[in-house]
Amino acid sequence: MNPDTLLGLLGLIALFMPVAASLALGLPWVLGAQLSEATIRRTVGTSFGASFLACLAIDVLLLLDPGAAHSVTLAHWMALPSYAVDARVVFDLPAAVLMTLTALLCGLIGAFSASYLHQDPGFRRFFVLLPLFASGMMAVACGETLDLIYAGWEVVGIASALLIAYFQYREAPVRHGLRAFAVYRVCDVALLTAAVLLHHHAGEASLDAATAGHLGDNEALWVALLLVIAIMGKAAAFPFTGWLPRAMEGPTPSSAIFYGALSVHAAPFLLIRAWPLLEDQLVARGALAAIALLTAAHATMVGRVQTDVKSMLAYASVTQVAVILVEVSLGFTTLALVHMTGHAILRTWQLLRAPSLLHDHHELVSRLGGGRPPRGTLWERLLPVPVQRFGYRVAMERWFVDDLAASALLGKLWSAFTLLDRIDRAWVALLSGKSSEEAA
Amino acid sequence: MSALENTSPKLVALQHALEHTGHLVPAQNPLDRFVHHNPLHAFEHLPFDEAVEEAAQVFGTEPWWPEASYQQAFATGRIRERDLTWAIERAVKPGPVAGVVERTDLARARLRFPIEGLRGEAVDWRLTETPALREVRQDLPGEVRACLVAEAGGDAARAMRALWDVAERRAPGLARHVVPPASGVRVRDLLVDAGRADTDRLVHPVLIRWSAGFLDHGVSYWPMAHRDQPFVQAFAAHFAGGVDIGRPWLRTARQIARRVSTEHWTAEDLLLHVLEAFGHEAAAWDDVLLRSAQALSGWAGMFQRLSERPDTAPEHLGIHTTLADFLAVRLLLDLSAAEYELGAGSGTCMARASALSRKQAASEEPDRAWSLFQLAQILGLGAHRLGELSDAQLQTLYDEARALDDWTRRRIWHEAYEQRFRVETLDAVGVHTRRVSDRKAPAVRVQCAFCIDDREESMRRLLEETAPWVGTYGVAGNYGISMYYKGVQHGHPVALGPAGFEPRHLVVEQATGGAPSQTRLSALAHHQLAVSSQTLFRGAMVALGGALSAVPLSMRLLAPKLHAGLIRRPMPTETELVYEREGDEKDEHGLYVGFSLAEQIDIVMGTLEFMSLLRDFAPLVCCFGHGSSSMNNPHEAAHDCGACGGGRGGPNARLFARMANDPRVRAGLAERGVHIPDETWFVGGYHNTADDAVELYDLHRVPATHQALLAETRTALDEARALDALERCRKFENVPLGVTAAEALEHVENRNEDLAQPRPEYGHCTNAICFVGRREWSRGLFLDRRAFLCSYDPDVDPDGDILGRLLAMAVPVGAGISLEYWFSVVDPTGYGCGTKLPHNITGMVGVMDGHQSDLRTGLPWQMVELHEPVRLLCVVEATTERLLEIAGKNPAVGRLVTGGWVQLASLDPQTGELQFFQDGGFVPWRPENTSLPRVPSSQAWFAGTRGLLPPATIVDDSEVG
Repeated sequence: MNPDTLLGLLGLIALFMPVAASLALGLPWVLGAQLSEATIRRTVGTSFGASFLACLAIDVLLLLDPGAAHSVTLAHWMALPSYAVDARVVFDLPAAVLMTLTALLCGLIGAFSASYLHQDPGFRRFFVLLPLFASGMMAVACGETLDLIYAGWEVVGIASALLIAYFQYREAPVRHGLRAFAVYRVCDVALLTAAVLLHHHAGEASLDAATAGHLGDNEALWVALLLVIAIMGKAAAFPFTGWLPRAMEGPTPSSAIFYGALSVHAAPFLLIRAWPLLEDQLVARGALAAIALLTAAHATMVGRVQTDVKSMLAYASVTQVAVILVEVSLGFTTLALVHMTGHAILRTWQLLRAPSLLHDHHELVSRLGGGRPPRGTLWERLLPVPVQRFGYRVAMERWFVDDLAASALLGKLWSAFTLLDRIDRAWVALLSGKSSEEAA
Repeated sequence: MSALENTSPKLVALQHALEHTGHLVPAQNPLDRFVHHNPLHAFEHLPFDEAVEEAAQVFGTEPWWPEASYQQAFATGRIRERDLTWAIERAVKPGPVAGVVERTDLARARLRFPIEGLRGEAVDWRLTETPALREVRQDLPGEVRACLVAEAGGDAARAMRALWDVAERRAPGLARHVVPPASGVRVRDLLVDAGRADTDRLVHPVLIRWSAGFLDHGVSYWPMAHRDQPFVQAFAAHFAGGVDIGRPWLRTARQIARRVSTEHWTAEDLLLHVLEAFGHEAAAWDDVLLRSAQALSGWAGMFQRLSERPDTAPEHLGIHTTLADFLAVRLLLDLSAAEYELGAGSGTCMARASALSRKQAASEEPDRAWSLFQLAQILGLGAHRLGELSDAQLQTLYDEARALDDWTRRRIWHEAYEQRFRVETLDAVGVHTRRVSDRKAPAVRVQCAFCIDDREESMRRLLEETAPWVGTYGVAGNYGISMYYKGVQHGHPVALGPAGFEPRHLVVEQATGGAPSQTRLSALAHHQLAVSSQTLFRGAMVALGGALSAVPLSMRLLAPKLHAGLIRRPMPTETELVYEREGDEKDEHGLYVGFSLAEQIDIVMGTLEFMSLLRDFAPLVCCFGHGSSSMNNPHEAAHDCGACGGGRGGPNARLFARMANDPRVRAGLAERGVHIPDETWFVGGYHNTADDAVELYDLHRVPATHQALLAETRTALDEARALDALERCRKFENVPLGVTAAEALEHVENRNEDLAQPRPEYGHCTNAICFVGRREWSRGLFLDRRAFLCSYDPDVDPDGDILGRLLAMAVPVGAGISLEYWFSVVDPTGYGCGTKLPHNITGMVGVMDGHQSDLRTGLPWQMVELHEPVRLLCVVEATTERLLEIAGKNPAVGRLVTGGWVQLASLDPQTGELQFFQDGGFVPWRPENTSLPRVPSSQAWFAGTRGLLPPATIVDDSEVG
């Protein structure tokens, strides 16, 4: 078989195995059939196993021929005489990296969760959402056109929000799931707009140099800026950072994979993918660098005062994602890929271990022979005490970003919705002839 | 502060309110010193039934299991008809009700056939959209349904329509019962009632963040400043100055905080100020403070606990936490948020919020016609008979049925549920003990002492089955020793001893040979990597190489035991305990360094008395402590030895053996009449209940003469622990039934190192029984790991002195464990801490649900899911007079027994007759069963089963006939 075709075939296996698993588990659910935990475990294990093996094979092929890339057109979404929208995927080095990472980590998390979530009422829900999420990540990884990436991007978002709200009988998970969803949607508007602009001006939405060539200067700048805005939600960039620590509401393994490992890295990956469009847009790159630096400063500072292990890891995660974004803005896309991979695996490992904090702490103290484990004191030595106090206070309140958003933005929204609610009640009261209290 | 100088009566009222609140917040230790306790400790002065219902009102929790759980137990035969009859007859007076129905039948019908309390549209929906008017209730027995239909000549639809018509016609004649609306005492409650914003949504994020910062014992990279001052001052110091953006609601709090700082207010000053500003009357302060604390009871409880027992903190930080401080800050924030929510205006918050509070419609009782319609059906009263009743009759019937409300029905169900367990257990004891006289006493060559812990029940039974020449004893796993212990693996000394006391002695373990532990540098490196990975620049460096962590990640997930073995640090192979003290020297913390000879003699004497091992010493006596290790388990310490205050009791057993082997100690014992033969040797050991590892200490000291016997014992122990693993594995659903003992052992060894395993072991789950008496009569009785077993021989305790001390220890400890499980399973999120899957460790002291919540107290669902909520049934080998005397003398025991917090039965040492303590006195136990399954081995009984097993007798070779 021609290696190029082989690459395409393997890529499709890697891409569609999680999709198949999600359907195989989701459809019987919709149809009301019961599946045993063992069946679910085997289905998920098989699909991620196959997907991972296919990814490894792709890695080998790409190692033999580093420049290889194979494009496959999945479908023609729309075809007019002069204009076509295709769903195209490409299997090249960046795609291979993210796909391998996705298959590996989702597979390990699947294995972990099969015993961690044993007998939990939401077991099946979790295992429908996990491959669904993986499908989204795969689409983002290998999508060649922005339309397909957008589809994957949305799937990742909805799966995230639903898993944050996994414990749906308590209030906080549902609120925080909704919050993440809202942030995602706001930023998704930018991604969608970028796609539309590409179609309008370049006639297609491939993220390659040819497309860039079709754009005028202004249009290219707009697209680049929109892409930067689009990734701010997933990356939990400043000022959107607040949703990420709040997302730690689901079971530990889902927190690990979403907010430590994969979901947050979809952001730098999109920019790496869109590098041909970004490369010449110095203004957009400058904006990206500024946002990333601000995010890094914010996250590392706020992370230092967190007193619970999951928030601490969440901010640590944002810090590194911000550093990766800086690397991207400087054009070090390969470095960013390496950094991303290492960070994703490391953070997954740390988050999965998070409930062992006490155990590990005792072990550490005893190995050290007693006393308090040492901490760095660089800032304590550099900064005068009042500045430290000020910094602590500001970090504790997370730079007041969430409060500002709540009082300035959400407060207004709330009033608007309350008004609509009143109008609605009055209308219902008028129709039903009851007083508005009763109508509620 | 001068303004408060003349307010001493108010101060008294405040102190009272604080004390009142302090009693009612959870008294749970920081997680690594977890000790089981009765969550309703504050209600122990009440009888159990009253206490659970009163506590349910105070805490907003469930007093009993949901009715559906009992119905389920009835359906599966766990509760039988006769148990229900027994419980009903105890609960209601027999007699006719309104001349229509026998009262006990009414109660039975109400218990068996639930009536939903529907109102308004729900009733309309039922009538129009369901077969309610076309069919008789399907869950009723055939004869009742036939009787109902007979009136209408067999036409169910007509019968039901007629019945509904009568019910609808008669219902308006019934007296109305109106439940007064529950009125909140906090301003926040009034605001919520009035449909305004919930101020707790503003307050809690700030309060939790700063409380967690203050209580943090080593999670954050930058610890909070000002922690040398009380919380109120520390909080004010951070809040008074500096910026605050986007939070207009904190304006009042900032103003007051500035005064707190400059005028050096105490927590009480601030509380008085805020309570006054709120406009709360002093008479309401008890309630206000309690309700305010309960809105975040876990955090309030942790402030209270660390002020009562600062020694339980993970680390000595010198922080000053009191409940008053926490409440002062909480109410300050509450006030600020309430004032913001209420806006500008005059008058106190309380007055304005009360004025706002719209009249809560008194919640009306469920629809009376529907209730009557259902009641008639379950009683088999057709339209005709219902219509014939006079108004008075109908009212009486309706009221009596109504009096059997939700809680009452569940209480009766619960009685029945426990009765079945009692019958099963006491009958088994009765049958099994009758065998004792038929049996030859086995010739004992080795004696093994274990903790009284219910998890050692199987270990002891299986060891005796494997090696009939072993006799086992049960004793509190601290072996009478209370010490701070610094082992070679410990960074700092840990407390090992009864939970109620702070140890006063220090014992140190020193390495004398083998691989010295050279792990400091690698640990430092590891720590630096972990810390760095969370920072900016260093974090980037670490993350670039982060792909390497794929190795430990996949190894730990796929082969936990292998990975654990690889990273386990080398331990010195030979160590010695340094425990002897000549004079009265103390270390810098005021601890005695070691035990004096006189103290050692007291300890050994007391412990031997506690296990009634005062004569007939075998040549080898092995003493085992126990503990448990597991991964990803914040509640790890809850699986450790309760008698050691949530520590691992190996060192206690080891030290006890060392002491008991000392000729000087033995000489001291001889003076007190206990003669340990020279050829008797004690060996200390440790049983890890998670992976069933068994370790023996100081083997190099064992004399050559004992080596052969020791080797034989170790073989038997290895066989027993594998069987123990097998018996445990039958309850783990992810282990297939039918594995071998070796496979089971391999499984549990992986299980406790598995990050993905939320149930490393089931701990005390299913505990239900406490036996105090000679092993002879419980030996060979299969109790499914449900029983605490205390050794006690009435023959060596003529005046009951030992028994008194034994019960004073065993009953409260056993009750604490059993009640903590009882409540955590009855209300898993109210008393327990819910599922552990989203738990998030905070400040090294507790867990929150997810990102930010109250500190969760109690036991996680995964620990208690198999538990049956029954109160501990203590069966004591002693006369009833002796037991009553002890209960009278020891108020702690007496209160638990007479209040029904534990159940008590007496087993007469001479006659073997059983008597049960009930309604204030002992009554002879009348058995229902006179036989017990007889099986050749434990394995034969439990093989292939998952659920709880009833008791059985293991028939061994020594049995005659």
